[in-house]
Amino acid sequence: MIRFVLSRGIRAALIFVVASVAVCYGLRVAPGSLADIVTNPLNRAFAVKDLEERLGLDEPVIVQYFVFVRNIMGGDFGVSFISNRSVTEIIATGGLNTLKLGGAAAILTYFISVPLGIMAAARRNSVIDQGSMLIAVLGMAIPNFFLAILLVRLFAVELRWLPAAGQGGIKHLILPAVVLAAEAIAINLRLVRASVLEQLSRDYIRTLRAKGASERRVVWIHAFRNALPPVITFGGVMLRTLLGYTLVVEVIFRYPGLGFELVDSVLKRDYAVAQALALVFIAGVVLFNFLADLGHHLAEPRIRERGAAG
Amino acid sequence: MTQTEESELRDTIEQYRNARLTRRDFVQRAAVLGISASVAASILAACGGGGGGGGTTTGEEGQPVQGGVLRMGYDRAFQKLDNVVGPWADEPFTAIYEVPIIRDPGGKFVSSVAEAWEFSSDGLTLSMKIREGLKFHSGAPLTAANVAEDFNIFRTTGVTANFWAPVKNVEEGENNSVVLTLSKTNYGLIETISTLFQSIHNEASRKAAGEGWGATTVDATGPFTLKTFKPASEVVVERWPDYPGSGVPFVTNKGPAYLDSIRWVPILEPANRANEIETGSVDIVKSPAAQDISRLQSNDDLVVLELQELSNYFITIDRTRGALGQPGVAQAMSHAIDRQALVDTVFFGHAVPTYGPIFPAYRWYDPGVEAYNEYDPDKARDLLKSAGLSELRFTLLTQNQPIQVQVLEAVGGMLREVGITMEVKAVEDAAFFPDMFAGKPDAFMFKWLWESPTDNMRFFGRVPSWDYNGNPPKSMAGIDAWESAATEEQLEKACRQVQLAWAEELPFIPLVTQSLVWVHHKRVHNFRPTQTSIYPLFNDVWIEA
Repeated sequence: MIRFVLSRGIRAALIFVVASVAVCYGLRVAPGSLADIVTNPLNRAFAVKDLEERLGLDEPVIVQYFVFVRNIMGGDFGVSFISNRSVTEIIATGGLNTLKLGGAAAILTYFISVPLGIMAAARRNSVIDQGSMLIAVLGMAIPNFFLAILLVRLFAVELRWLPAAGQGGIKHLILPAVVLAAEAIAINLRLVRASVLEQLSRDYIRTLRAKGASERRVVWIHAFRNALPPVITFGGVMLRTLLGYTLVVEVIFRYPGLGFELVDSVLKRDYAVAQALALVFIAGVVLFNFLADLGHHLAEPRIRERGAAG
Repeated sequence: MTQTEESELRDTIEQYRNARLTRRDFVQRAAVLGISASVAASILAACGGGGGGGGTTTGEEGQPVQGGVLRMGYDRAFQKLDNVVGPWADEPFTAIYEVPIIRDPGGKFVSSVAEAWEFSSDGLTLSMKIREGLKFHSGAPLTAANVAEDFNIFRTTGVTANFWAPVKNVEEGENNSVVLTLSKTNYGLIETISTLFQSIHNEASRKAAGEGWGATTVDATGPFTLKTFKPASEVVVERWPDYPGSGVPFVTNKGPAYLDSIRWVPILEPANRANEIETGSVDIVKSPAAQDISRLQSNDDLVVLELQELSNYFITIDRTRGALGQPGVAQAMSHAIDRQALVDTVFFGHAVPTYGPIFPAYRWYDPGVEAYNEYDPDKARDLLKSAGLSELRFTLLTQNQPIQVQVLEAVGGMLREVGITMEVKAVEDAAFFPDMFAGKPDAFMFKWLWESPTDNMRFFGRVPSWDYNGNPPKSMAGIDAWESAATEEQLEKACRQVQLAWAEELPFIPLVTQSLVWVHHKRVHNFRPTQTSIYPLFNDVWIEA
């Protein structure tokens, strides 16, 4: 187990270093710089050069990268040139909001897709199964920005049940969380159904039934437990997909999370913010992958045994 | 327009505002004064209230109520609220800053921080008397010395430093006045001084704030102070209780603002703007999607105000580049474009075609430009043929914004009809500006937004260079006349000269001016954007509890 955690940890650290180079370099070689965005076209000729010198943007990219790494090592993520707020503060406030949104979407995903997927498998070709598959198809087919527009028109504008955008209580979380979770619910639903169906066709299930185990126990305990590994593996993919989609959903719903801040900072070439937030997102993805690997390791006895033997 | 007519127009506007005239009466009187129906409609929209306005009045009835938070939906992400070198003047500018002089709804310059101004008889000295008793948010007194200091910053390192070139000295004069000495006559300086990037600030505070100016600190003279600046999510300003009162004649509240605070939120997705005003999550929204405007107009809880934006979409082609530089090519392209179709299809009628470089609601707009550049595809083909071109192909660079891409898709289709193939390359702003200013693309499209349209011609004629824009002799002569005008009459004459020359020579090809649309709830009162300013003032605005 320790060996497993260590090897994954080293891999994650390497990914993180490579990603930091890619982020820093990518932002610098993208056309235009911070100076092009924050100077007025009317006095651009004078201001761009002045600003690049003041902010060290005229230094080679490699120098800028090492300055960036040195600052991070010292715990200094820098200050936004646009808002003059510390990046740490932006991460703290936006990160909490994104965590709430992502958490709500993840909860929604599992609370809907797992029971529905099991029921669909247990009652194959029933109305529940057909209905679940319809939900899955729609969830995968409708682009999330379009779904957002539909849901806002219906629940905010027409029915007035929920706010159209912004931040506040739980009510403000519902629509963004549903939009964020829609595709994950669809994919997870199909995965759970397929995985449980596969287990239900196995010999040990027939043996359990022959021994008189109740159908509920067979499906919800035995089949589901053995169907878990692929669902857990997909969990890592799903969580990082959710994280990626927050970029879109937060902009649509004017939800002040990290996604919103990242999009804004990249478009404005606010390097300090964009670099730090990109690394936060990358760290999130690396962490979710690690947790998925760990979960898979713990849930799959054969892998565990192989690890112990090795 | 003569002085008498101008005075009559002002009286007419005042009577309409005080509900002593109906809309019909207003339009009839305006017509007598030589004002077109479209301009009269714009003035009516700007005035808001008045006689029998129906669904588009601002509802000035009732006594103003002190307090409340006004929630504004804004159509852009915010930039630093920096009046000296900021990239963009966002809406909170008019809440926290004040300009030296300002345009009234009729376009006449009136007092704000300065109470009077006068050019010397030779036109080489401009004296401005600063109002007494003013102070900054920090409590520091505002004197002519502060204004002189600001003007010196603006003319050396400010956004509009180019426009200040004729000013060779600025110093404090007698009796709380500022004296500007010019190297040549330049009456148009007044136009520059009234723009938002000439807002008065406390230079000592700006120096102390460093990079925090416009984000964490603004020490200016407007009725509100900056509280929160989070560009991606909100900007909040609070009432300044010690505000000495507005010097602007058309602001009726002469004390501190009625509102406790104003909170702006960026609503970047156009379709969401209508949703947010309909659901009440904001009280006012700017620039809803064009296709949503008619729905909003039919909503009894809302007031829709529509003005012409102080802007213009235009296309510029590189005249130094082979076929694009052939005589008549720009004119051919212009004749191939059906501007009214752009207005009807892309903007759903919420725009006006522009055949010259300036929007039609401008006080010195010359309708003579409409004789040029009319839609005539046959003429376009003939012009191309005369230039010896059977076909023409080029790539146009634009900012990657949906409306600009839609305009260009439509224009591209129209050009194809006459044998011109235009490939559109849409890029984000950070990539657009360096290429545009370096003159890299074959052509580019841009939209200027500025309160002094002729100054735009001065500037964009040189972007990326006069060579790129064909060195148009008549237009350049018109710009020279504008830059050396000694009186308002000469300035107006130069403005008209520039417009007509521009329409003929086409250093850039004008397309359309889109509407500036504001939608507010009826519980908001005295919200009065004007046709002559980019943003409204907020000191009169109040909101029902």
